[in-house]
Amino acid sequence: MAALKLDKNELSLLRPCSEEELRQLNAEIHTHSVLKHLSVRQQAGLSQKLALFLLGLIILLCVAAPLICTHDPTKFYLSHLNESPGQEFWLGTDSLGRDLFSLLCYGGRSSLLIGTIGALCSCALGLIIGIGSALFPRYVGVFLQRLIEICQSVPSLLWMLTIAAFIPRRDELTLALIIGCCSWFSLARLARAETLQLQGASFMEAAASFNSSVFLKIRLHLWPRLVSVLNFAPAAAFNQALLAEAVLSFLGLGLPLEQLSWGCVLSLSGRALQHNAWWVIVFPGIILLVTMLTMTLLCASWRIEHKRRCSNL
Amino acid sequence: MAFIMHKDKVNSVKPVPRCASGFDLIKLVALCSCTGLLFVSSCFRQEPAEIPSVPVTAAQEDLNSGLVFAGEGVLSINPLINVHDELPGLIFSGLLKHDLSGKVVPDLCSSFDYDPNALRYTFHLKDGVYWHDGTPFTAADVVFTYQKLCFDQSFISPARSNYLDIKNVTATDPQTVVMELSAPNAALPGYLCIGILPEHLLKDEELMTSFFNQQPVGTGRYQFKEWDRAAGRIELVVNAAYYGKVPAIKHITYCTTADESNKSLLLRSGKADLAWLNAEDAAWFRTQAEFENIDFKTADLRTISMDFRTPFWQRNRDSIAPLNYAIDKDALVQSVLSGRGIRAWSPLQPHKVNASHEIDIYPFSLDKFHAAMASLGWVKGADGIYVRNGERFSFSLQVREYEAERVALAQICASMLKDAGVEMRVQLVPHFDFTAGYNACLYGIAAQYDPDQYYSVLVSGMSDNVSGYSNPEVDTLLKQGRRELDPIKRARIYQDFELAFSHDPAFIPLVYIDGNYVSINGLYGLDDRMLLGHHAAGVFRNVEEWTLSR
Repeated sequence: MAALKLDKNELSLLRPCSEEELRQLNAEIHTHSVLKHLSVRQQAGLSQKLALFLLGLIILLCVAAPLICTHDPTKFYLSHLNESPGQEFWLGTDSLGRDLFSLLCYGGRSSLLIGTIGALCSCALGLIIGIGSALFPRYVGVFLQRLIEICQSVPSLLWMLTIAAFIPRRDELTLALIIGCCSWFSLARLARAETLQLQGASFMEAAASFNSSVFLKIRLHLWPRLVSVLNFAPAAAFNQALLAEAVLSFLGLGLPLEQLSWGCVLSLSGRALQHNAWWVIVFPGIILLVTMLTMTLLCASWRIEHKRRCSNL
Repeated sequence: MAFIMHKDKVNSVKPVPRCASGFDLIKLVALCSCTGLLFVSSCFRQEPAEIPSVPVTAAQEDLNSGLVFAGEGVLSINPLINVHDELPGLIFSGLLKHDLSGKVVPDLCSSFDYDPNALRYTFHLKDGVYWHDGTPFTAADVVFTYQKLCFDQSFISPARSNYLDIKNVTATDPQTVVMELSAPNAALPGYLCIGILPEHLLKDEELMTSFFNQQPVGTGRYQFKEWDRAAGRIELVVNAAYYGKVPAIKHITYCTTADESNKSLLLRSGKADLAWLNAEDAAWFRTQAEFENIDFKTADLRTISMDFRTPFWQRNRDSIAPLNYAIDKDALVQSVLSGRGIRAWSPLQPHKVNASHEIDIYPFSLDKFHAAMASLGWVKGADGIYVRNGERFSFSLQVREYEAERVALAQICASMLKDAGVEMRVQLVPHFDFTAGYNACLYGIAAQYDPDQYYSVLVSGMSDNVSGYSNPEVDTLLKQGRRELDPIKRARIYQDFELAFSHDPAFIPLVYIDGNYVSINGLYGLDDRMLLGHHAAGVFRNVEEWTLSR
């Protein structure tokens, strides 16, 4: 906490106070703090509920797509090309006559799967390499540190494009792994920084004095504290994976043509722009944005609940 | 002991402004100085002296009268390597050329004779023809080009099979070339339109790897100036010393934009003046007053071409022809081509050798398809895909990712075939790879001048037969068609070829596309009576007649 600097005038206002006065003042400060905290909690709770509802709705649309969709997403309705939203096609059709609503519902399955697997892969790699580079002995630690630096010196998208170009056969799992393996760098750096800070704590020194193993130190001392600090990571990784899938599909390096995803639908927007088919651009964009926003809100509200006071983040 | 402030005084204490550090002060002074200087300089700014109007130079006028064409991607500008593109036709000239009706007329030669008994052509070359570098054009250049094309084993042109009947090419004097044939060839005059290469620049060069292919020197209407690879622009300037009519358009900038959508965007943004677009992209320009759509007919056929070297088709070749029943080609024309094209049922439709349509034997009919499949022993599996001898009727098809129209055709065909019980897996590729094991490709092919143009593509072992197709009956008929000089007998031979081919096709003909060119207003002279070739190439055939007024 920063020291309070007072000038002479202010110092003249100071006077000794009794224990009772001090108790009253502390009670006031506490009440104010609690009220402020409650207000933040309430706001967080509201946004959490809204985010949960929207995300649940999107997941429901994707999971129950065969029950909800009125059209086959792979079918080309050749007499309904570039049709604007209406009664038959709720969100309109693309230039080949495919129902956009069905494309989004079925495409969401792949995208959410890629987002989840990609996020898991990214978090696992980031945490393992980040913690490892801080904890492990000299040479392993230095090696991991250099690895992080080398990987981070090239933009993630470039790594993804390079790896994707070398892998001819791509499905959801492959794409998720490519994305996951190319997006752990920032998380590893944060995990390393946080671990290094915690390593200086007295409980870690105590654990070291008892010759605790590295894994015991991680399980008992580091993990509970890291979780509260890095709990935004899954959301960030999920969003990054979702976005990366869209970008790769847009560039033609995503899923095969017959497999649907939000990225594949977004890739139609280039041509849609030329034909003034705004619905092909707007609706996939909105659903991608809402999904990412809900994930961010959920993790932000979770973070408020588990906020650790002594975090450097 | 703790200290607190008096409650009533707490609010009266004014926040003390934080003292600016020395560094902040320096920054503040620097910022004020800069602002002040700017203000002072703006106050005392002198009125600019009147800029004298610079007269428009001839070079600038030329630049303004230049045409920017959004064309296809180009790797090499060599007529012996690039047999389909526009650029070789602008830079190089052939012994002969096609006029607007497709008839063969002299170009670099002033006249030519053919002795049918001796099987000998004699070409009398024009006087006063120069290469773009100023060297005189002679018969030695013609001899060099045809020696390379026909006899050089280190260089195999994709067009070599068109020149198999040339036995010998000699120069009797600097202005006369004699070409001896080993057999009569009805289609050969059309093939003699291929561009002639300069001997003095290439006699010691490896033709496939020569820098000449990126900085060509020809005798044609335009001469190569510059190739900016980073910007994808090839600059051409008119050949003022051209032996024929010199074009009025002084510059042509050829943008190497293979991507169909990009070509459309270049036009819309004013970065290009002319482009060949796919039907869907061209449709938008039909409603725009500042653009003009010029619709050509083409012989450009889109097909699902099988690779017969893959084991799948070696086992299931008998099942290719029935696939014609399962594809609604009229729907393809109406949807993907927006009605700008025709349903394809034969590779020779533009030549009308079979006007009665008697070989149009595959109407769209799923009933007929299922009957044909049943007769061939295919049975539908649990997933709705036909199975025979434990093998599903499933094959892969490669299509170039930057060709949106072909991708759309492939996707819709895959959907139609799936409804019929056949799985066609569409794979996007940056360029065709005929060694990667794909079972098929969405192929484009055109024979705009003569049915014999299918000779090199379909006859066993020929130079452009990339699919490995081999059918003895087709081989025989195409050889007969090449040898026969009587047009009526020749037409009958090609009718027989169409029938033989339709029973054992190398590819499934889908649609003939229209050549939808879009230009800015003010470009005149494009003649839409011409039948264009592959990728609607050949539009520049009469470029010397074009004018451009912006």
